[in-house]
Amino acid sequence: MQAKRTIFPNKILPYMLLVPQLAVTLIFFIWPALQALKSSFEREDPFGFHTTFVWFENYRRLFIDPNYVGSLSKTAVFAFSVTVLSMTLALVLAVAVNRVLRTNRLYTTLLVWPYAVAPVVVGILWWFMFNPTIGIAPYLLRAAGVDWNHRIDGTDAMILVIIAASWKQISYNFLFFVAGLQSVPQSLIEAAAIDGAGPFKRFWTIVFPLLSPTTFFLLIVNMNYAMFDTFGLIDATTQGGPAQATNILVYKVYTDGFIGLNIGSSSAQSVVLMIIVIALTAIQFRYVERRVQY
Amino acid sequence: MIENRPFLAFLTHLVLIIGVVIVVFPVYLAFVASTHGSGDFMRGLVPLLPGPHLLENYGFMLNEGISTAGAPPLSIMLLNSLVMAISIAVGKIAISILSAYAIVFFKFPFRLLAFWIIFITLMLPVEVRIIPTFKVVADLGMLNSYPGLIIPLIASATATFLFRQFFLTVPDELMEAARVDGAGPMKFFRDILLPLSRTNIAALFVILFIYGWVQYLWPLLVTTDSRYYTVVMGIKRLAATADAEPQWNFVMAAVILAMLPPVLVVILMQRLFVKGLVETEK
Amino acid sequence: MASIDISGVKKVYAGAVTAIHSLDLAIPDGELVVLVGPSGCGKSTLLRMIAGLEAITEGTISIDGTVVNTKEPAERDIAMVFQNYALYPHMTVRGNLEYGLKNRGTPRAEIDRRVTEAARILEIEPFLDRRPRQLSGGQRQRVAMGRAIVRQPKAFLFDEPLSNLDAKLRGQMRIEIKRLQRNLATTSVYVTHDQLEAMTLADRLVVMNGGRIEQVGAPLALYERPETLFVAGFIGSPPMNLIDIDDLRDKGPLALPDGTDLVGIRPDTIQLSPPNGPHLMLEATVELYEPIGGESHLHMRLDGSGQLIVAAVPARTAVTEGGRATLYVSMTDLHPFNRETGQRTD
Repeated sequence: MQAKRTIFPNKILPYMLLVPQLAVTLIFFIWPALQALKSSFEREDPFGFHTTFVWFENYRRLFIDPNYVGSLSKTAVFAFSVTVLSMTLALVLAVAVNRVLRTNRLYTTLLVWPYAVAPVVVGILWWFMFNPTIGIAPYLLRAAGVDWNHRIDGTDAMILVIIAASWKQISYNFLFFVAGLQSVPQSLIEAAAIDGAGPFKRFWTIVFPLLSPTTFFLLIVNMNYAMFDTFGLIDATTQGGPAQATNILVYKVYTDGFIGLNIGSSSAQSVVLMIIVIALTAIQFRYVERRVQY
Repeated sequence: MIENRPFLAFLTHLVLIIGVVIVVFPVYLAFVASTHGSGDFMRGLVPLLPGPHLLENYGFMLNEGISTAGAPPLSIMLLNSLVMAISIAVGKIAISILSAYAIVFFKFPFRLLAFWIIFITLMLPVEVRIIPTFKVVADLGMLNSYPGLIIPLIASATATFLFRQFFLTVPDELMEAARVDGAGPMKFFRDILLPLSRTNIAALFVILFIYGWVQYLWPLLVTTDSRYYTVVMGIKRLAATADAEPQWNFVMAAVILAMLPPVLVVILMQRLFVKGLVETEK
Repeated sequence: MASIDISGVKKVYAGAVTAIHSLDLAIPDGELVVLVGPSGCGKSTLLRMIAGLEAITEGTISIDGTVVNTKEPAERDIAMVFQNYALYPHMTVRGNLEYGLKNRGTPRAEIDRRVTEAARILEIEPFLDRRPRQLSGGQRQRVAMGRAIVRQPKAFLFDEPLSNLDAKLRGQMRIEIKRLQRNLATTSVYVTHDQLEAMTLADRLVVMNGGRIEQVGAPLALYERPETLFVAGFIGSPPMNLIDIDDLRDKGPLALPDGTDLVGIRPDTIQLSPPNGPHLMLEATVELYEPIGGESHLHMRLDGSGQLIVAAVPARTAVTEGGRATLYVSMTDLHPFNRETGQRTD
């Protein structure tokens, strides 16, 4: 791994410098993760006196549990939809901002702040908008002849959390797309214009392909976001309901472990989640380091 | 822009204005709701224009809060959030810059191992190790305390990577010149490296402040004593008072107050914010 | 002020790559020694070992009679001027000059005195309160020099200090460095890859190649009598012409030592009229006429072998491109070499 050409000769100092970070990491990250791994292979008796080693029993039960398999597919639908929706909107806005000259800072300011809104607050905002008695969204939907009820209808509930989660993530994607667009050399665009490509053609044949590293990076980050950072949002809105319709993996791991107190199953779920994060991070580093590049 | 097409320009602005409306509208609605009296939410549609109860609602929430929801006055929760967010940001920056310094400017046995241990934190968000981490904090007697809220969250691979990346761009000769000038490792760190890292530290602070402020699950786990509630988790309790319709005017006043500090940070320090966001992801 | 003694010094990187092969060099007090060579020849590594920025694998380096192998750079009492200047960007010029003195606990009054003095010598007084990024390249270079001067060290170490400047400024600064070094009479080691800079600056020139010293000597001595093929090719511009001895046998009364198979001819020793005494006579076609100003370079192709040869001749020489030329070289101007050993044979 890279270091400086010349280095300080001290022997003890570097360890001292590393101690705080390593201590926190070992105590609050590595050790608990190992504990989760360990208890994912164990079963506790109902009184918590006795644990037995059960090999992959927890995992086996997990994957034959229709609730868990359902949660997996809900998570996939949720993550995919949030990623596509928020990235599409963000790209459109980023392209637009990149076209305006004087007012682009103003627009940017008005578009980026939702990044700073906590997911749980986002949940409350949209829960309020969709409130069945006084919310504006059901009111408008009723007027349009749509029968909306996310408290009973699982699809409605899923759409609600997807919209809320996407709303928050637009700002993040927008900033990265703007940065990506600004790094497309102006000379290329001009060359394409001289070659007779109109603005839309230029976008699809020149700009969009050159944005592919950003797009790929954001795909991964958004999947990550939708799967792991939306706990508060779900908790503030549907709480996984109705009838498990929005019970995504992180929410389920919490309810099963912390409320249901099923340590073995919850730990196995944690391990599955870790594998997912590790896979996402690995993909991100493998391909983003090298970039999808020309 | 290459060609001048009025229609395209019009379309561009239309798209942006629709975008801004989508982004702003939910918050506008929340703000409007926070300025009305409790009676305005009984029937029909939410009010769409601000009402006269702004100061009254905000004052009530800041000073008293809704005790039936088991939440303290907002002023206390805001203070807790502020303490938590600032401490997390400062803590993360402090331990990350030191470890990045060790990794870049020294060579020592197990350097690569240390790097990987730090790297692994990327792959272990709180959400995937909730129960065992809770147990560790409980065993250490850190439940219902500021250290319990803060310390488990201050390990940060991204901050370490950002500093590592930046340190690698600092010319080797600068450190060599400092050594010839008689500066030892800590002196070099304090006199040269730290001042050079100022903008990076500031940018990172903005991002990490927001990170600390929006934490929800962790405070939910480690605080049962309302004196340690943060505003982001406390708000959830307000919104979820049993089956009764929440008192939307008060809830939304709390929502606006909970959003305001980090949003202001983003707007006022936009340049640093963008730098911090984009660079930590490199 | 001090002498520097390098004896048996070796540098091996990561147990495999040998950057410097057992090298000896003695630099007397007050001398300006220039280390010159192509990139990768080990000249910078040697300088950095003297500075203490690079560990010494084997052998010893002494400054002022004391072995400094294990001493920190700061304890060696040397000052260094870096190629990219390495000015502390967040400090003012004054701050940059003072930093090393402060770290050594020099009294305030003495710091001020030295900074004022250095600023006066280098004419950077107007910039003392500016930051490096507000300065031009030449001004930064002066500040970097100033940082070395204020320290009043035992030795100055220069690591390609002029390579980031444009050609004109480089010429000016070269003269200033030489003048300064003469006035201060501080032992100096100067690393460059530019042979012109090396020639003009050095009291003594050390030509390095592949981690070894090829030749040490006064600049003109090296120019006039290169001991190896490498030095012959490296010193001098345009470089020395090297011609196979077989192509010269019938061109004049050759009397060269045994083992000579390659003959070097400096472009400026080629004449267009026959000299007195024994000489070679070569026929060639002029391919390119390159006026430099004070002189002109003729690029020609020799009859027979077809080899390219360059001659430096007076500016307005009556030759035309495509025309014929007869070249004369005095026997005393020939440099005989052996191709195999790379060594001079006489």
